[in-house]
This record gives sequence, C-alpha cells and structure tokens, in this order.
Amino acid sequence: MKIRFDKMTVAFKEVVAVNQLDLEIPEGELVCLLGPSGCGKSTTLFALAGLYKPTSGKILFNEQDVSGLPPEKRGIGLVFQNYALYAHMTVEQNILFPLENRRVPKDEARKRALKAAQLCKIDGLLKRKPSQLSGGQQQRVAIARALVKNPTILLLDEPLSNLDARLRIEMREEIRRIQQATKVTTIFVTHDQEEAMSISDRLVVMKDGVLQQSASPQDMYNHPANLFVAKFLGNPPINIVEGSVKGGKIYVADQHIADKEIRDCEHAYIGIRPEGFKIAETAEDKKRGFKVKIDYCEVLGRDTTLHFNLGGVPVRAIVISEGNIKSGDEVTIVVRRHCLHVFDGETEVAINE
Amino acid sequence: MNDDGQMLIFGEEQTTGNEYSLPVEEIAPRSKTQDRYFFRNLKNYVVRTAKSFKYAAIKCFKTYTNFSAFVPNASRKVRAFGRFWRENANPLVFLSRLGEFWTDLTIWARKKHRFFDFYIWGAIFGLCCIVLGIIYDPLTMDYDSGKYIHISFVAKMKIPFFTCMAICLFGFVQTAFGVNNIYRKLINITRRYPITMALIEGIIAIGASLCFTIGKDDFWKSIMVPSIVFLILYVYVYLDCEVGLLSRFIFRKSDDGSNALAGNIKGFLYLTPALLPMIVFTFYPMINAILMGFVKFDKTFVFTDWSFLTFLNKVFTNDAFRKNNLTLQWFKDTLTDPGFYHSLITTVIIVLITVPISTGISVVIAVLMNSIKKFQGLYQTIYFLPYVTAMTAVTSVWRLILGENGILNLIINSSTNWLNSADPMFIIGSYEYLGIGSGGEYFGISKWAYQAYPQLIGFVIYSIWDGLAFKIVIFLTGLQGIDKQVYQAAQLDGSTRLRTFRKITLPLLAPIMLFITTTSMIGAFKTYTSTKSLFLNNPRFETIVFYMFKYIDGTKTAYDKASAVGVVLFIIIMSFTGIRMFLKNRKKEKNAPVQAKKVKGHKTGSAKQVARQGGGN
Ligand SMILES: Nc1ncnc2c1ncn2[C@@H]1O[C@H](COP(=O)(O)OP(=O)(O)OP(=O)(O)O)[C@@H](O)[C@H]1O
Ligand SMILES: [Mg+2]
Repeated sequence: MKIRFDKMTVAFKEVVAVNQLDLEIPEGELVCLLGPSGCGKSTTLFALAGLYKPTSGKILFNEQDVSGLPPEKRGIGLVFQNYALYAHMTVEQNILFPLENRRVPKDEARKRALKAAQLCKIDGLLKRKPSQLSGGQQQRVAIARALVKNPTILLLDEPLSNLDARLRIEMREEIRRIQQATKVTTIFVTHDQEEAMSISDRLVVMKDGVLQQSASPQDMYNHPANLFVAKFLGNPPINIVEGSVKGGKIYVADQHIADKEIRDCEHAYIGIRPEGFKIAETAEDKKRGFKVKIDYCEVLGRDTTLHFNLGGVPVRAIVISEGNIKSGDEVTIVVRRHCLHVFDGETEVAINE
Repeated sequence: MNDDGQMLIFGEEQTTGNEYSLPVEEIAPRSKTQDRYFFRNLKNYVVRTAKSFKYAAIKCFKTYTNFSAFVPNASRKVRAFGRFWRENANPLVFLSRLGEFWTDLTIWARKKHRFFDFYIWGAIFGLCCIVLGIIYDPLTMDYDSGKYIHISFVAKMKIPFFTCMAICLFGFVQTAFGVNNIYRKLINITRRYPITMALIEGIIAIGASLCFTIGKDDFWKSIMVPSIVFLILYVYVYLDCEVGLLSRFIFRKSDDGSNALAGNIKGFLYLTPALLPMIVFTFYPMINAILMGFVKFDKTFVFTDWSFLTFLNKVFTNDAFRKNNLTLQWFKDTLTDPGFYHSLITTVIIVLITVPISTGISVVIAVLMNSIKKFQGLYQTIYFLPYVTAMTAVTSVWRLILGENGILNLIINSSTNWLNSADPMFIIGSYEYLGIGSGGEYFGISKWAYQAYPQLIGFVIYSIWDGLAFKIVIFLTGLQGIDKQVYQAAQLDGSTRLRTFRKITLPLLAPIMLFITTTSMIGAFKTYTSTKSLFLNNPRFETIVFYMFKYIDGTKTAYDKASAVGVVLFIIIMSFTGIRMFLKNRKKEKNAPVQAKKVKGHKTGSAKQVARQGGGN
C-alpha cells in the first residue's frame, strides 16, 4: 500500500511531536525511520496505525484519506518498542489473539501461528509466558504477532534493539527477506544507521519532529540535505570544519583546500567524509592539494587512518595503506570532490549550486 | 566545532564492532543531583507524613462518629471517646500507619542518603515507640475507680474479633500497599534462614509477652521492661549488621564475598517497628483470645486474673485448674447452638451475595472510569467520598432510602419496610434438616427454620453499595498499572472492547481481584457496625459477630465463651480464605504450561516472584 503523509502534525499538550510531515512511501518499500531519541518516530508510527489522531493534515493510503478509519481496519501490524505482549497469555495465545478476533477457523489459525512462529524462530517457546522469555525472544514474539495478521503495512518500532549482534543481523536479514517475499510496505524505526542503510530501500531522517530528508541510503550518504543528516550518517562520522566559499574556492582558515562550483558563502560548514581524502601523488594533485602535518596515523591493514588538524579542528582521514607515512610527516592532501559537502553557516542547509 | 557527544551517540559507539550498546545517558554532576533528590524527597516526605496522619485522623474521626451513635448519653461522649480510642483498634490503625510511614521513610532514606540511614530514624522511631507505648499502654484506666486495670485490652471481647480480622486484614493491606518491599525482604530471609528467623521472632514474641506480664501492678515497669528488651534486641541486630556477630557464623557469605545478609538483617531491622505494633496489638492479644476460648472462668480463676503467663503457669502446675478450668465446652456449646447456625447462615448469605456482586459492579465502574479522560480525578473523588464519610452519616441516608416511604419503595413500587419489618419474606432450610440439637426461641423465629426478613435484603443492598468505593479505587490503581500499549496492541489486533475487557483487562486484574475478594470476604464475615447503625436496634438477623457480642454485651462478662466463638469465626474465615486460595492456585496450575516449571526453577528467589506469592498469601 502506498502511504502519503500530507502536512501531518501531531501535537500533544505542550510538545509538537511531529511537525508538518510531508512524506511519500511507495508501495512495497522498506523504509527506515531514523533520528535521535524523542524526535517523533514512534508518534509517526502510531499516527499511521491510527492510535493517535493527527492534529492537522492527512494520512493517505493509496491516495485515500484514512483519517476516519479505526486502527483495526487499517490492516496494520505494529511491533511496539516495548513489545506490549499480553503478559497473561502464552506465546501461542499471543500470536493467535489477532486471528481469534478475526474469527479465523481454529485449524487454520494454528497453522498460521505456527508458521509465523517458525519464521521468527520461536516455535519452541509456544507454551511459555512472556515473563519466561528473554527480551530478544519477547521481541520476536511481538514480530510474529504482527506478521500473523498478514498486514498490508508492517510497522516496526525498534524491533531489534534487544537482540545480540549476531541475531540482530540475522533478524534484520530475515525481516528484509520476509518483506521482499510478501512485498508488504514496511516502516522500520531504528537508531542504528548501519542497520538502516543495509536493509532499507529508503531512509527517512527526522529531528525534533521535522523531516530532514527522505532518500535512498546511498543518495542520502552522498547528498545530505543538511548538516544534521550529514553528521547523522556515516561511520566514522563526517569531518566538519568551519570555512568559507569565495568564487568557487573553498577556504578553511585562509587555506584553499578545494574547488567547488557553488555560490559564495561567508560562513560555511565544510563536511568531508573520512574516505574523501587522498594523498597527492601526481604533480597536478600536488598543485591542487594542501599541506598538512600528520599528528599521528594508525595503520589498520588495508586502510590507514590519518589524524591531522584542519582549521584548528581535529580531522580524521582514511586512505589506502601505501607508501610510508609516519606521525609528524608533512604531506599534501587532496579532497575528492564528491565527498565534499558545503553547508550554509546559518541555515545549515547544503549548498549545491 | 565540537560535536563529539552527539557523534558518540549516533555514530561510532553504536556501530563499531556491531555490538549493541546501551543508550548513553546524560549524567549531571553528582552533587547537584543529590541536592535535587534531597529537596524533592523532602517534599515527598512531608506529603507522605501528612497523608499518613490524615488517614489516621479520618479513621479516628469515623470511629468517633460511629461510636457516638451507640452512646445515647451525650454528656459521657467525650470521656467515652477517650476510652474507646484507648480500647479499640485505633492504636493498631494508628501504629500500623506509623509503621508503614516509617518503613517508607527508611526505604527512602536508605536509597537516597546514607547519612539518613537508620541510625537516626531508628533512634527517632525507638523514642516514638516508647512514647506511644506510654500513651497506648496495655493497661487501661478504670474510669470509675481511677485505677489502672491490667490486660483490659484482651479483656474486652472486641479483641478476639478485632485481632482475628485484623491479623488477616492487616497482612493483606500492608502487603498490598505500604511496606511490601520490606515484607518481600522478610519473606526472602525467612525462606533462606528459617531457624534464625524463628529465633529472632521468638525473642520478639517473648519480649512482647513480657510487655504484658512483668510488673503487672507496676505501670512504669511494664513499659520500661519491654522497651529495654527491644532496645537490646535492636542494638544486637544493629551490631550484627555492622560487625557480624552471630550471623557471621550462621550465614554463608555470598559469592562476591560480601555479607549479603547484613543487608537482609538490616531489612528485617527496618521491619521491626512495623512488626512491633503488630505483635503487641495483634499477635499477642490473638494468642490470648484463642487460649481464653479453652478456659472457664470461675471463682478460682476470675477473668481479671487472666494473663498469658499466669495461664501457662496454672496449666503446668495446677492440677485442679487443669481439671476444672480447662474445657472444650464453649466450642461444643457453640457448635450445637441453633442460634449460631442461624447467624452463620445469615453471614454466609451476606458474604456470598455482596462480595461477588459488589466486586463485579466495581470492576465495571472502574473500567468505565478509567476510560474517562476529563475530570477523572473528580469522579474518583466522588466515588471515594463514601469511604471517608462517617458510617453513621451514610447509614442515615440509607435509612431514608430503605424506609417505608423511601426511594427504594418508590422505585420498585412496594410498601415493604426494609428497615423494620416483622414479617419474614421467605424461609431457607431448617435446622431439622441440618440435624442440629435443640435450642430456644430466637428473635421470635422458630428454632427449626431460617427466616429471612426484608431487613436482610435491605442490608445486602446497602452492603453492596458500601463496598464499592474502596473496591473501585483499588481496581483503578490496578488498571492504571496496566501498560497502555497493551490496549493499543489489542485495538490493532482487532479486539472489540468487550473482548479486550474479558480477555485482557480481567486476567491482568486477577491479582487485584484476589486481593479484593479476599479482603471483602473477610470484611463481610465480620459485619457488625454497619448493621448496628443501619437498623439501630433490632435488625432481625444476626451475624456471627452479633452472636459473639451477645455474651459480653452490657453487664454480661462471658469472655471465655465469646472467645470461643471468636476462634470459630476465625477458623471459618481462614477456611473460606483457604478455599479461595486453593481455587485460585488450581486455576493457575491448570493454565500453567509444562515448560514453565523448568524455567521457574532457576528463577526462584527472585524478588518479584516472592513478592507476588507473598502478596497472595
Ligand atoms: N502521549 C504523549 N503525551 C505527551 N507527549 C508525548 C506523548 N508521546 C510522546 N510524546 C512526546 O513526543 C515526542 C516524540 O516522542 P516519540 O515517542 O515519537 O519519540 P521517538 O522518536 O520514538 O523516541 P525514541 O527513539 O526514544 O523511542 C517526545 O518529545 C515525547 O516526549
Ligand atoms: Mg519510540
């Protein structure tokens, strides 16, 4: 189901949890909702599920306004952040509950429940109560309970946060697999950008209830819309230094570090990804680049991390390990053009032209 | 520009090595937080104190107004109030409040401020205990002669009744509300170190009985001795915590080498003040009352001679006493008296009708009220008002409702007088059928048949209503404890409201349901004051407590016989409670899955489970 938010605002008494959200999610995509804690991710999901009513604006499924539709009619499976399992029911009863409400025949319901349980690898725990399960197992029960309804939209609110690293990767691939198999439109809330980038078709980044950017992971990484998004994505994080742009030349502390065909800007933030640096080798590069003194360098097999100062800010660069750079050396460095991002000093919005 | 903090949270820390790391919390400078805690809790503490005393005051006031209804002579009211206050459960209520409050305080103190640890609070409370001991001493002034009479606390027949009920009620109330943390701890320790606990409790029990027996004629001695006993105990336990005197040898050290028990004994120590009034005002009188049921008072052993130690002394040394004064006759009498069965049937009818109905109604009202968003507080207050209103005021309104020209008759269009009617409505069973021996005329009713008067029905209606306030409030707190998201999940799962109520709300309320049904069952069994104030004189039905009071009413002094009835009532209540528990456990077992037991095995001893079981017992 295609989902569209049309200037949706959700406000509680004092806080505006989601502010004028305009977002389109194409059918069958797996979308990751990213953002710092308290930015309105859960609220967005709840509004979508119908548990919260938007204060203003609309939510459209396949271009049809669903504002008046009660939650149970929206065909949504939701995995809550704190699972919200029925504590007094066994795992099996938990998974069966939505089917019983739908009056699915008993045999079929059992079959479906077992299938969902197998999918989530909890078929050995069917007779236990939630209190007898680990956090990760509870989470998987919640996922099974959401899946068993065959929802048209699946919402997952940080579904993997309690799993160990290995199970986490396994589960996220599992979710991806299930999503691709069922083609169910899925929104997946997470704090983990690596998780988000690896499985999603599209990333949506929010901050303080405001949508920052919505794009494919690679697109967002290469073209962050603003400083926040640039800093949010990438590991190790992007280097940010203050500088200025004059006549297509980028200066940091009066040093010309690179060229980019954009408008002038007196005060700008220059963002350079760690992998965006290159040691100048050719003569042309040497002419184009700038000299820095390496504070220290770590050689990690294939890559070498160089630490140096740029405009008074410590900067980290990852280059391929060759040659023999040592701490204290002075080298000429060139910035790869596509890894360089310039943001307006006041609005923090990316300057691209 | 320095964004390290943020980068740590959203960048590096979480993803390197693919390990999930807990969210980084902002930690404010230590001293500042502590200060904030201190002041916030100071406020809490004041509020709690106020609340604690407010409840005590409400109870006290209610008692007074109830009492004044029984005392026609207004000029004696004030004096009688003092006496009533002294002789009744008020010290118990008051002290239990105080104990509750004290436990809260120490829990808070221990958690937040090592400085305010129990050294200080212990000392303060010890002082308070002594002062209160002086005020509510076990001796009672005989107002006519101006002398102190010993043991009047036990002497009044109210004691077996109050104590039997109080012991159940008190335990439940305390576990449910205030001091459950400490109880949890106590249960934990008792499970692990039963012998030591028994020893300690034994010492306390001996101390408590000394409290009543040593210095029988000496007012000061009777206060000082127990105080000193407890003081010594206190000091010992304290020393043990600090340097590990006995416990070092008795208790194993925990795995990490620290003496885990020191903490536990401390926990137990925190409990003593809450336990102390319970022992003095509950356990000790109860034991006395039970023993008194087996005694026959006569010229050689008059009632005022009674004390625990004299009794024991006589039992072990005096043959004549054993022969003449030890008897099972009172029990035999009680169990063969049709009047007793009449009162038993009446009581059981009241219990079996009022408890389920008023529980059912209050659940529904609580659920409805919980779904109200606006003015919830106001509604709650309105519903809770009857609980804090004096019973006499409430019953006088009910007298208007149930009277001959009352609203009830207006509604159902009848002319029955629900308050004072001489014609029975229907007849249930007969004593012949039960095969019980002969007895006299009873309230003008033929001894062979149980006749229900309209009064009983009027009373049942009133009782149902009367129980609502408290139950609703308890259910509401239970409902508010259920995670809201569970309801949201149910809504998303397509569950209708009714189904959610049946399949989710009710099962999740089960522990509270157990608490409510059990306590209100106990309450219904001891029905007395409400009938007295509703019907003033002759309700034409008799509950067991009525039956008990017959022997000590006015000038009658058959405390021995009344004690026996009290014991029988106690056993009845206990067995009903036992049945209730049994049913509940059986249901649990039926639902419990096979694998569950395995898992439980390695979880035993976890505080939560112990508490749950403790709360249920
Ligand atoms: N029921 C509510 N009443 C009032 N304010 C609320 C309510 N629910 C959420 N908020 C507020 O709305 C904002 C967004 O909350 P939300 O739960 O959507 O955050 P989130 O992005 O899911 O955070 P997290 O990652 O910690 O789960 C927060 O500031 C929160 O305090
Ligand atoms: Mg959330």
